[in-house]
Amino acid sequence: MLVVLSILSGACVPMARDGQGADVAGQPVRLTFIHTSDIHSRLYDYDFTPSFTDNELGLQDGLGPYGGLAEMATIIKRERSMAGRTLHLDSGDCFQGAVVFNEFSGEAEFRGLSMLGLDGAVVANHEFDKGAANLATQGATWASFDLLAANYDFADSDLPYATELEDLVLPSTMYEMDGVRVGVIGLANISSLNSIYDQSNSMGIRVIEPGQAIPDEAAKLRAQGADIIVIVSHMGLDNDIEHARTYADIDIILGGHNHIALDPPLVVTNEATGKRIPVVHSGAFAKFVGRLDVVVQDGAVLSHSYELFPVDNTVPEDPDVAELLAEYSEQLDYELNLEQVIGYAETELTRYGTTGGDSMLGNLTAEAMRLYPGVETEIALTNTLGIRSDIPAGDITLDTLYNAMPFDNTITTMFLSGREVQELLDFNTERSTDRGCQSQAQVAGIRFTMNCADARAENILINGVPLDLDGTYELATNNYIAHGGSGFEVLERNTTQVDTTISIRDIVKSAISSARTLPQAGIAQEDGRILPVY
Amino acid sequence: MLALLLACSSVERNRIEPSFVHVDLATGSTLGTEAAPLPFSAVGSTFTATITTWNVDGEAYPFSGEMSLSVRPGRVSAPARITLVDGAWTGSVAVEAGFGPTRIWAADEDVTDGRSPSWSAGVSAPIWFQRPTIPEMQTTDNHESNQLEGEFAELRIGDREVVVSATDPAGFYVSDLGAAPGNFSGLYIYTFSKPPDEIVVGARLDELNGQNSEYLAATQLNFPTLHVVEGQRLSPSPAALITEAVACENNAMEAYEGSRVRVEAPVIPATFTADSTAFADYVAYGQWPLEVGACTVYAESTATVPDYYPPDHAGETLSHVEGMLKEVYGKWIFIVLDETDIGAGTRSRKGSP
Repeated sequence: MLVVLSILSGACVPMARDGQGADVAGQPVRLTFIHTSDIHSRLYDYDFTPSFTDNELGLQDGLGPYGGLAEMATIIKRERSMAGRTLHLDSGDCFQGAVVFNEFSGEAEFRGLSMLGLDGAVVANHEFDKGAANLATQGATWASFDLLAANYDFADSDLPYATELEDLVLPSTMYEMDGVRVGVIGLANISSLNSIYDQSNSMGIRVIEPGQAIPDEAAKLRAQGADIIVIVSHMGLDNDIEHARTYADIDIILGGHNHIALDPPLVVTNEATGKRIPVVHSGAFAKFVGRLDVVVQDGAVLSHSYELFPVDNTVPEDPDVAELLAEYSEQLDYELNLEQVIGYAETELTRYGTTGGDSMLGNLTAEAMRLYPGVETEIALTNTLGIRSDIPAGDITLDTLYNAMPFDNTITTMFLSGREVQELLDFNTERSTDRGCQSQAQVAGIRFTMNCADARAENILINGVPLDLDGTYELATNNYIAHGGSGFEVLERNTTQVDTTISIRDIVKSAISSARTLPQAGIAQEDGRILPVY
Repeated sequence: MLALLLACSSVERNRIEPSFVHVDLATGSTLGTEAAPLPFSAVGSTFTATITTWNVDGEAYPFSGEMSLSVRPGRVSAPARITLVDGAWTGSVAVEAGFGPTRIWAADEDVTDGRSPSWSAGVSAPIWFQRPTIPEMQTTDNHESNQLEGEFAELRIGDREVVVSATDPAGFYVSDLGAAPGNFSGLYIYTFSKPPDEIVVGARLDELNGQNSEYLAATQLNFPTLHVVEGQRLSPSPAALITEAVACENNAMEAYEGSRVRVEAPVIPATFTADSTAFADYVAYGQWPLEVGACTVYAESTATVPDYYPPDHAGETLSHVEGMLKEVYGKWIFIVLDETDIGAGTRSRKGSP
């Protein structure tokens, strides 16, 4: 197994003829960074309708299915063959987002990425979605690449797997690229740690502030002879920009978390040194592979260029990776019959509303939650980001549903006062205001105006009747936000919670099967129940 | 750890020469400096460059064959490919739309002669160009493009009066007060989520960079890096009047894109009824038609003036409509900011039911 991996990976950093790096003093040297991020378990190609932005980035309509690790492997091998000094770094969140993760807990992702020849990856929030122990097990067993996070400290944790994680996850590492020593620092996500599926940060991680982690690791790497310092980050674009501005040792940032592709990359000028730092984000869901080329001379990055490669059906599968993935898909088909058709979508069913308010899939999900036999609450609310992708027009398969709803969340019911409902919707409005007035929650039994100008919910109707602040309402929600995920504290503190253990994906599957064809009147249609104004 | 088992520190590869490429600009050339840059030019400037090749031991290498030339940032207008003979090439390189520290790249790649390239590359010393102003970046005779489309644009802001002219939930507009309205002085900045708190109408910027794109043919900078001058407030330009002649010409309208604009006495067509295509577009996109003489522009107000239902006003002549101008492939849309932007309507006797 190990031999096979090492042969197929091509992960080795190019070295000079005798194993020593070339003498590059005074010479301009081209380095190539292959960059991937937020693959989110999209190991198999899948259908969706590319957005205008996807089109602009090169992912064209009509060339689906898109994504897939075997297709990415083809691009990566090709680009490696078209470069002298190559390093493949990934900005994390390769776990969670398709059924292969639900069933195999990240094994397929780590094996696949190892076969791609990935050199290093930052550990991101979704890598913990089946717990820290699972990450330790999967990493130790299957990852042939470095796992990096300079801002997580497991050493003080009483977590059973702390020792394994401490050994497994490196703060930084050095790659010798034929005479150029590239120090790479991992920066893991902090903000989402308390809102990942494995609740309440039970992993026992001690977080180290970037202001400490970056200079410390950079100094260590420079002392070891690093010519340049690369940050591989899952902290999000705003933090990446701030770090590029602030920390003098950084030369390049390869980031993720926001699911955006930046082509061309941003260029941020460091305030202390005047260095121009490329900040690269290369998209998500296996839709793109990024390639950053830099010319380095005597430790300075002189210039850069970037290309983003779309992963579509014009890219053939890499046979080795395809063969590996077939092992898993055969098991999935056998156990789950993923290709079973559960309904039909006459049009694409979208997870975001056209105006930023309620959405087709949001309304379908929230209604299914509150109406499900045994649940039957007055109102329902679920977080928009719990729905991860649109459902394309055509047959709706179980596989499609898993892609849209990968989280294994269940329905939690609870009683809220009218004031708490107001607080809940105010919180959603405030949170949505910060996100372009795109509603961060989807509802059933509720209509309201989401006033982003004042960050307040107004004109609230509960099943057609104005909200009674002194009234009591029974709510169905998901167990993730019921535990305070995404900052829903008003739910977290509620003491009437009952986790029904009913799977939300299962009840949505039932709703689709019952309706057979979607959308139809009152089902999976936008109806303006959340009206954004600003 | 598995990674250690797979370590490959002694792997060799067959080295293909040339290992290094040097790009030297002719001495005596005017290359500008950071303090005194060359003017921004969309039409091009020419520089004399010498490309040489070197082997892994740092010795001159007599490479003969093709190489590609490019410029970062900016464009190389000629030549894009060169042929080295005995390890050298000297010639003129024409550079367009460079800004900031601009370097000429020479790379051993994309060869057409069947050989295996080395993939090595070198870059020149920086040629310092001035960054473009907002009007310089946008001035073009193609309303669906601009001079820096596809670049990470770094704008000349510090010595200009560039002010926030409007905000929305996912971005904001700026205008360069040094250029009169109608001179490509307005620009939309897309921030993906709520703009930073200091971005308020009237705030002056002294740094503004971002990814330049034509979103549905509207010029915008995405994911900006910016800096607001603390404590300074300037008044944005008043709305510029769009005449019928301007409204009927895409490239004339383009010069106002991203600016606050006004039309007077526009008419909501009487044909804007529930069975019309325009109504279907309104339901789908929130845009409603306004006749300006013989031409049609559109307004969008659903989220900003939710109580105004345009179909109820079909057939009315409004005293005025104002808004921020954006384009969707030749469709010109006034983004209405508040209720004062929609003037009172009157219905002509002739048009009344």
